[in-house]
Amino acid sequence: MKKIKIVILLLLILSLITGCWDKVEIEDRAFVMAIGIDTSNQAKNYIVTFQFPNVKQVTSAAGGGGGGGGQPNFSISEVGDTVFSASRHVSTRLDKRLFLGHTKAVILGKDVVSNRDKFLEVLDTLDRSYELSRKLRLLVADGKAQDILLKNYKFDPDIGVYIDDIFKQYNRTSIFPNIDYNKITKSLHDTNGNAIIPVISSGKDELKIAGSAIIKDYKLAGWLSDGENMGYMWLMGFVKGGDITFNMPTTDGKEVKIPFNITNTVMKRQVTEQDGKIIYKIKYDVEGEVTEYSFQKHGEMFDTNVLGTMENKANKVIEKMINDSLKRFQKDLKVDMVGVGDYIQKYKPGLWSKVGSEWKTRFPDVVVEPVVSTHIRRIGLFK
Amino acid sequence: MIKNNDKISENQLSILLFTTMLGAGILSLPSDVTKAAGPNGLIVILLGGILALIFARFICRIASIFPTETFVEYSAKLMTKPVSVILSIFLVAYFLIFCSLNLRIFGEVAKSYLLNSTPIEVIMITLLFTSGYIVRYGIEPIARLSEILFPIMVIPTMIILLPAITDIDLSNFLPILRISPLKLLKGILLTAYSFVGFEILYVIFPYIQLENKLKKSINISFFSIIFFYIYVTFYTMGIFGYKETSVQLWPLLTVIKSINFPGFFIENLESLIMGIWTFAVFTSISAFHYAATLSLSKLIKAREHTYLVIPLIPIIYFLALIPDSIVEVYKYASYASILTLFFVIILPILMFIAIKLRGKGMKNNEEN
Repeated sequence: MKKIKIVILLLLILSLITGCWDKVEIEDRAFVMAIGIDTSNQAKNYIVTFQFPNVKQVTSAAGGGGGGGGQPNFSISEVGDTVFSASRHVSTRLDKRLFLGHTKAVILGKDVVSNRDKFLEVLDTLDRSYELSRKLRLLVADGKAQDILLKNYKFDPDIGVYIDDIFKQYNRTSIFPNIDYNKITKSLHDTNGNAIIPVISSGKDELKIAGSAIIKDYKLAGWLSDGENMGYMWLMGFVKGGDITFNMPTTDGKEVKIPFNITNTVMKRQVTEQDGKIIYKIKYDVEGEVTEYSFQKHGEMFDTNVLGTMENKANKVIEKMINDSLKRFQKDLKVDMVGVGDYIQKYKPGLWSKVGSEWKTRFPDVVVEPVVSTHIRRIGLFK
Repeated sequence: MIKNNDKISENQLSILLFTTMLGAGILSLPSDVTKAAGPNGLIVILLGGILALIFARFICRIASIFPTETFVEYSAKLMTKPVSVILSIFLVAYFLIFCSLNLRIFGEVAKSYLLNSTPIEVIMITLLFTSGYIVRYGIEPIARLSEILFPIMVIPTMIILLPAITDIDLSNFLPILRISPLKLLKGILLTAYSFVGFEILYVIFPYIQLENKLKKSINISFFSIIFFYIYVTFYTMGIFGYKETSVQLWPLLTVIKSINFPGFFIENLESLIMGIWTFAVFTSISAFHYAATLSLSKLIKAREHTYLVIPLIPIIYFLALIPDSIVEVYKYASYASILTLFFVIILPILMFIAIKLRGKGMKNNEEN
């Protein structure tokens, strides 16, 4: 009797040690690093492209075997009525299971963002996914996303990592917004459909991220060029680095182009109401260094007056940048994407209860007064 | 008669209360409070927590008049036998409902995030039998387990969230208190639901070794959980803003997805948080399971509660399987919070009135 009990017990234990229900071997997974979504004109709605590294090659290289030939990356496209169904139907042609937990970038084709309904569908798929990270980079392609993902790039064949690394250097230029997926959805939720998404384009064997797409009411409304984009970054207070160039007249009546390298900025905002007009004041304190002047003029720069003139010139350039960008938003697009409404809502709730309901019509008339004061802290190694 | 080794100290009580209150609700808490109170979510948690604390102390005060009896016994003295029996049955049902709600939400989250092809029944049964195992041994092991799991739950959660501090936009908490008082009150009542769990005081009170710092340990327990809730909600609201937080199902898990842990070899920390959260759910489930078993055993005047542990498991299991979908789970949860309102606020007041009315006859038992 006791023996039978033990045998039954052992058999029961046997059922527990079969291992995990959900086990997937690592070689059988396709770790998708980048996803591209395009619309399709055929029967199905979307073309979805997945790009994932060749795990076999990666593992054999790490082991020092050196073998494991083949290309470093694979891309596969699939059509589907929804993005999700495309990601499932891929499995009819692929011997691996897609895993989206490590995806670094999602690239939307221009057609997707131009079509309100499709853009909403795609956004919801991304939002509801259990696997997708919220740190991923969402970008708009200037053409088809598929064209970007089906190429091999020489600097880093892994497009997801490539894009992520470019973003890490955003503050060297400030010409594309350092906005990840998390911030884009927050912006879309907060403003009911307005956001800025960085733009990606591909050359023969390299990628470029510059400028941004303006989304108004869940739809592509226009593009920001590099300069306008920096103006936008100024308005949002995102600028933490980058460079601007201004013309500096010299003592002999000529002009020199001078690069000013921004190292830090502090933004302060204030809203007042005068005679029914809303006045939005932004004050910037910009710190930075001048890195070029003229070889002939060595010794001249060691003068606070010269630096003062330079600071004034820099102020003008930055203010112009901001005003150009503002003109885009206030006059052309008539959409508040620069956080004025958001600021009033949070810091002047009394004023917001008056103007909030008709903010769309009020925004173009807001008087924005940027005041920039630049401080040149360093001048390089020569006086 | 209560065995001596089955008593818990007051320090253990404060940890037990903390781990019981910290359960499945933590995942959806930020979304609940932002829906109710917009940018004032943190204030609502603070006030809701203090409200819950007041009633917890109230329950304790009533229970301390009958230091050796559970609710089942002293309610009979206060409000006649038939009423007491009905209330006790409701109390058992209440504990079972919250046990099963926790269990179901755990199953849903585990299935969608971790174990996609494992049947939810298996996930739930595994947890339930583990709980049954510890409940059989009484309250002292449960409290000791809570003591062990408490630092494992709290410290990693706080550290994991820390790198996200740079992403927090403090202006998301503005404007402060521009909300109608009625809405604020509703929000407070809604958050009080997140503190569900201290009602186990109704039945575990006689198992506490009283050393005159009961009030202090309850205060500590409540203020630490208020702090913990505020900490988590602060990150969620600070990163997403209240508009986005209020439409998310499990904001805590989503916020973990958006954290960049610098220089760490694991990229996605959800699984880590899920592991920690499993402990939180387990401690809640076992405490509710124990409370239900204990009150049932007192109700039918059983000598030991251990025989009732296993029979309750299928009941909890089937209760947990009643809701059809995750949407229905939360619908039932909101119904259950009406019961909470009764057991947390109305019942203590009723009992207090009963004590005042019958007070003259029981003066010799006045609180010690």
